[in-house]
Amino acid sequence: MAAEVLKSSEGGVTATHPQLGERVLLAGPATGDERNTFRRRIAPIACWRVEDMRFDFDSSFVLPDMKPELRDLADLVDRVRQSHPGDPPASLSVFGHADPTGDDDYNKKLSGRRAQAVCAMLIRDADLWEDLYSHPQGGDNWQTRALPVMTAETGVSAGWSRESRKQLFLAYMDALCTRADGSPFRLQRTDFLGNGADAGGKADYQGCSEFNSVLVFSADERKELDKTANHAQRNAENAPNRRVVVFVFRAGLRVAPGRWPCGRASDGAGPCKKRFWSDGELRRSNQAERREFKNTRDTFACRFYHRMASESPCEGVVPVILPWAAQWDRPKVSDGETARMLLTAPDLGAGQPVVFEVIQESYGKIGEKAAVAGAGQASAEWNDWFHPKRVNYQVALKPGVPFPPVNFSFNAIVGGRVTPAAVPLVYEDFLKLQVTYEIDGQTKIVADARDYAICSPWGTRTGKTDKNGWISEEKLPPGGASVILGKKTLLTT
Amino acid sequence: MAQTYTIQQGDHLSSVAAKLGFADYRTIWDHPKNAELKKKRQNPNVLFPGDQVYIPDKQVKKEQCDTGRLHRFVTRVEKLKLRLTLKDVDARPIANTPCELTVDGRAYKLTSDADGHIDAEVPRAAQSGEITLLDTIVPVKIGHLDPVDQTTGALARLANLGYYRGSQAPVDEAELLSAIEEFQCDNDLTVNGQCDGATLAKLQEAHGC
Repeated sequence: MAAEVLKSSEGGVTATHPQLGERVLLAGPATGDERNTFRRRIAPIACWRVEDMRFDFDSSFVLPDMKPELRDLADLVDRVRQSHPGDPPASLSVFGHADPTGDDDYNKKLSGRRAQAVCAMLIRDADLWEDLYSHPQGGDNWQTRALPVMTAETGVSAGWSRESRKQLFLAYMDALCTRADGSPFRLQRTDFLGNGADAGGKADYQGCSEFNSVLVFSADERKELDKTANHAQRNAENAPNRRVVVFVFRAGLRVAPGRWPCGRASDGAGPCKKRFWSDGELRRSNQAERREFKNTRDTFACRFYHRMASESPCEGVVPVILPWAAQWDRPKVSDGETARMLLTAPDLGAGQPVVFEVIQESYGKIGEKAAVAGAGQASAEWNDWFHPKRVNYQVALKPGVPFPPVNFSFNAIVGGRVTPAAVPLVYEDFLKLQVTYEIDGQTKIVADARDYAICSPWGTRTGKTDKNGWISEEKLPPGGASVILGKKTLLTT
Repeated sequence: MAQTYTIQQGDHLSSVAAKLGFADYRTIWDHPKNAELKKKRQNPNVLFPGDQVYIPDKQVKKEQCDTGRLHRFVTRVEKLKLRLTLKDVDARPIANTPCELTVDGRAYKLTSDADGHIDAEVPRAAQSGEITLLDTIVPVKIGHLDPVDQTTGALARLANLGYYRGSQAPVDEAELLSAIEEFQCDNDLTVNGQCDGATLAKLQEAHGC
């Protein structure tokens, strides 16, 4: 798979990662004890990022608004699994991130709690949510608002008992995690990188604290934003840093939790700091200029996370390109008919020039129309259905063989971006005529089958008139035709 | 006549010996005129392009034989192996796993042992092959591993060990720095991003040659 943003919304991004480069093992042969080690490389093949706005304020409680992003994650997981033979389990790992406000250890726990909330929801582990519910951590307190929100979403009322909460948690998880077709999206513990082998979720989900910010303010900005009056603005500007990222690995990939560098979600920052770049503190510090990871690639303090994420579209390194679509307004067209070419482009600004380049599939470009975009769309009409100049007597089609389909496509071109029409337009005219003769002022039908030929610029088709003397052609290509019966040209259109 | 041979990329002493008609690379390697090279490189099969190897004259062996009798002459030809240690992403050995090694067109069906080791006797002039392991096929270039104290040699070992994931040329400097530091971190060395002596020694040890 190549790096491609599959879905993008205000709430998150779903994308595939670029493939690692070709690998060649350079080996020294042995006449003694020498060996060469070949170790498999680890790199995510896809990612999913969900924004801070999908969580309750300063909390690990997942809001109902996360539903669309969860549908996108379901699509992604299904897509990756289907690309592997033998239907192996998926391989996911969840990374929570906090912003650089507050201390490292508190942020480590908070980011871990968000990761835990997401993982628990995917595997329907109500006990992990009960853990978050019953152990508030600073501002992350589920007891203030979570239960009424869940009840409003599910209609399940929250009782006082742990068991009734469990039922509510499960109903809420089910309500949020569905596929696009409405079927439940539910993963197993064994769909995670650490195989669910560690009770604390090591390698399955973890918090990165504030160590891997995608945006680091300049020292001056930081000084200004740290003033009490500016905390609301600081909080708003820091929102991109407070994200949860799920990396998807090759299906079936497993690591032994004990060998995974990241600590558990509940651990302090120690294991993270062991994995810092030698200049990790500098990387995460406020420097003279504001830095964004997508531009500078030097804002993550954790080297291991940087290795996972450095090519990840979910960390902004690939500009998000929203998909554009081009299509004809109809599937078929016939002589004299006008068809409209449509470009749907959500981020296309009104007034932008658009060129529609019309293509006949066997001849190439036949013309173009210029248009000016409206907001998010553009269109142009076409009715000059191309055909070769001359009637082609050389290409004689076998009896019964229809004319080849004549298809028209187009490219909508904006700047350097070319969007081809998804489905070509088929040109199909029809011709229907009856051969009769007149005798004694009476019109008689030619009842015996007579050979006829329809000569068009695209070839000559032969056939026999039917018992009522009819010649019918339902798929006549553009350019008209001459109909010949015996040696007589009956008609030229 | 004695000559000096200049090592090219892809040469290893066994292939050089085979090419020049020596049954045993040691005839060349142990020659006093190669003592300095031997001390510098240590491993006759991990040489560096440009290395000068002294090629001694071939020894002519004369035997007096009676006619009318059968005589048997046996030439002992050294054996060359490709020995690999297979490891998973988390550095666990890929143990007891079938894999296929193809060298110069010949296929070897192998199964790794408990330590992830596979060994195959390969032709002395072997240069290329490929290994099919689980779902991946990886080309193998035999004799292309440079000494660890060369930049290319350190890079190749970091790549074989799964740390460096960029291309051999041009080198992805950011990825290389990450690979060196990650290797240092995993091996309890000072994490400084430098290929210092301790790092190179550990790299050679961890790689196995």
